[in-house]
Amino acid sequence: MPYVIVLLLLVGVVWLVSGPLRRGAAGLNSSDGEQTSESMRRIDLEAARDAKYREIRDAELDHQTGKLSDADYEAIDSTLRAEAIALLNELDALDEAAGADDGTDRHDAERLEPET
Amino acid sequence: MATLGRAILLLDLGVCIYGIFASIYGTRGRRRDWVDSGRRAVYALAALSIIAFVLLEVAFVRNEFSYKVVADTSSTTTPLFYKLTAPWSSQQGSLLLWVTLSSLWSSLALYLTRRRLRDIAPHATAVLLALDGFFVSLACFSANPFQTTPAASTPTDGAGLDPLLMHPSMMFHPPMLYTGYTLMAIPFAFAVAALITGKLSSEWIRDTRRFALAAWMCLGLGIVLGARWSYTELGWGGYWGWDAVENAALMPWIVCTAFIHSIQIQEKRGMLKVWNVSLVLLFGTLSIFGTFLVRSGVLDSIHAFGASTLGVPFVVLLATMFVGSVSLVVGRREQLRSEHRIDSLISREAMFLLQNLILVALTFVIFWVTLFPLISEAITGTSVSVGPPAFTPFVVPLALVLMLITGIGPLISWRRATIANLRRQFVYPVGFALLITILVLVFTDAARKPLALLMFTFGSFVIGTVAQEFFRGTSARRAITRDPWPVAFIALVRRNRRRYGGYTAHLGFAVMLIGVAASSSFQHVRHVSLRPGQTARNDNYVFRYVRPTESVSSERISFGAVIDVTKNGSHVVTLHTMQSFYRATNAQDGFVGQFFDQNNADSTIGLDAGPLRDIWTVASANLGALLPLINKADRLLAADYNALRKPVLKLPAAEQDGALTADLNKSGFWTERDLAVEGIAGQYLKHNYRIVFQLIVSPLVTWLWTGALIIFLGGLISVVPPGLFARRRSPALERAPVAVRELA
Repeated sequence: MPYVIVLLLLVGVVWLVSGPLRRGAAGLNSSDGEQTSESMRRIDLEAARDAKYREIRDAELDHQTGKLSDADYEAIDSTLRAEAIALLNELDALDEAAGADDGTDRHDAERLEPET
Repeated sequence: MATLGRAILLLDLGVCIYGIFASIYGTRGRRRDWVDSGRRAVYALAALSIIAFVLLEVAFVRNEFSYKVVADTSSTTTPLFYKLTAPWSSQQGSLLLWVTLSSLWSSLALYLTRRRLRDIAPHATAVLLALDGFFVSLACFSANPFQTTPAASTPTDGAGLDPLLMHPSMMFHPPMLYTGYTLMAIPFAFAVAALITGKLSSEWIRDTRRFALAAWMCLGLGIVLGARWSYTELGWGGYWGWDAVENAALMPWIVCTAFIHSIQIQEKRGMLKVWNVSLVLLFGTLSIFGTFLVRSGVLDSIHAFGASTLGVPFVVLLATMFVGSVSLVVGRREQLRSEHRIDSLISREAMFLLQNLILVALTFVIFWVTLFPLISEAITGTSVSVGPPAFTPFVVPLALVLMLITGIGPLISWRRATIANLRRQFVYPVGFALLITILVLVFTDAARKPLALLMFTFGSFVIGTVAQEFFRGTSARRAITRDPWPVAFIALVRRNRRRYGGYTAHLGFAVMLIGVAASSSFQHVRHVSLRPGQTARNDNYVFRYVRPTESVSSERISFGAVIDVTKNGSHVVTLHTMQSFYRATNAQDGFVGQFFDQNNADSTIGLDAGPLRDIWTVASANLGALLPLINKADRLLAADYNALRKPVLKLPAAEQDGALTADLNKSGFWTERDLAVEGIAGQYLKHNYRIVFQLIVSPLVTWLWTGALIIFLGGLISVVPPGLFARRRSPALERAPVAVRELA
């Protein structure tokens, strides 16, 4: 009996791990490599953008709780927003290069422009 | 079923080898199907390991003593709860638990990142499977949990679980530690993969940060559960003895603490990349080092499995991890260059950096002193033992500075701060700390312990800081939303979980270290020998030994004492403490003596825990007085046994065991023995034997456990994914602007 169970487990394991292979070769050709490089850059930028948003939010909370003076806050906030806009513009550039039809990030950039 | 278990372990090994090959082949040949297949090998490993672990649990529950591990660590009288925990009390079972947990967390991590980190994940898969494969190899070839004994030599009963391990904490303490260790392998594997591939962006950190945080929480909880076990089970009155294995768990936890702080600097400022990746590699390596100390038996510890042959493979693994990590970091140092520099030394990032340096220094001190006996033996040939006095001169000052920084950090903003702002931030927490210090000086004798007093001051400062942060944050929130206080408070925490989860952890840290400082500095300990009716004084409490107690069960014989505690003539509490003796399997102890084996005993403490002080008592049963009776009973029973055995020896060898068993049962030999045991135990109540008591009055021990729970709560707040408790998910198109606008 144990040998039958072992055999069944072996069949189950082989079935599980060979699933992707049975579905046929999904090779990564050279263009995939380029996509990977581009998507890596996008991921980096998105991570940086999210971190920048957090930094803006933290700075505002620091200001509201009295850790940052008005002058310091204005200086830091404008620097952070400028950095965020630069990141969003880079993301827009990536979108345009990829021919994307998504205006979300450009929209973000517009919203982040300092109010005058 | 043992055959099935052994076969599954071999299948595990095959799956590990295949998965490593598939992942590397897939990434080198740019074949996604092979990469996916490699990832599925981890899922298969998890499934197989769970089946193997369930098989082992079933063997324990069914008392299958043909399994060597069951015979060694369980018995028919072991309660079911402890049969379920017994697998990880042995080297073999704990290795299987490690593989099971590790493969489970690895599966979870790889499943969550299956559509991301495509360049890194295959290498991380290979690293995780290599680590799992190492432990599976040990389980297959060095410490197999499914090893059996031939039917002829299978015992009818097992040796039983070590009495010291029969404690509720043991259900959770080792699995929590292993969960922490195995979760640490995930950031480690992804860090190695990122270094190998050169894909050193923040992505791998973002995707594995929660695993590091979860590892930190679980390992921390495991450490505290171990301390609780030590306090309530080991009978020495302490919770932390700077034992080698305790330290081995503490070191990766400290390094992980440094990491979860410093990673914020990398996320925000693109700084400390070398430092952060080094911390990840360090706590990954230290988690294996901790396992090495538990399993190799190179250092004496109550938590270790004793001498074993596993030391050499672990040393090879550790050397590989260490040399590989250093080489990878050195090789990628150009890509790990910081993007920015610290703007000001008075900024939160500067405080984080200082805190990191202290934490790493603390780790180095603990590492050095823990290994000092080994180093000393290697150099001088003489092993020396180190205890708490070797640690405290270094650890206490570092802990004080750490506590101070824990209070200062949250008061300073990122990037820069001005003196006027600092003054406004510091005034209330410093005022609160001074007020508490004055109150402590006026109402207690804390002045005689300046370092403890300083810890109270700094701890109060941290508590004041956290309270102020919550108050000001909630006030700011209310000023905008006009929400009621509780609503504003919850919304504040929900929207800034990392920040306020961290502050909660700081609060817990302060509460815990205040408890540690108070209980270790102002503890009153007395060892007294009392007869029933006699009293002893400790601190302001009078302890009266009221009467002895005794109980006999199939599992154990317990001798105890009822103690009445009074203060200024008023009754405080009645405590019951006892020492229990579990039947030993050593035949040389004698038929009766094996029920009174001092080496197979544990203590149940009498404890009255309160918010301000614990009253802790333990009694050592005086078996010396019973010894003549035990020896006499052993001699008489041995004579009876030999008389019954003599005619049996004339029978053919194959029939002797059966005939002897039948004769022993028929003659009532075992009933006679049980009566003798009960009769001797009963003598304990009839004579006013003198008993040695340890009486301890410790202040604020409860603060330690409460602080640990608060730290855990803080970790929980930080680790919960953003959307889990959100009332409404923002549509994707609105998410980014909302992130900026919701600053309000």
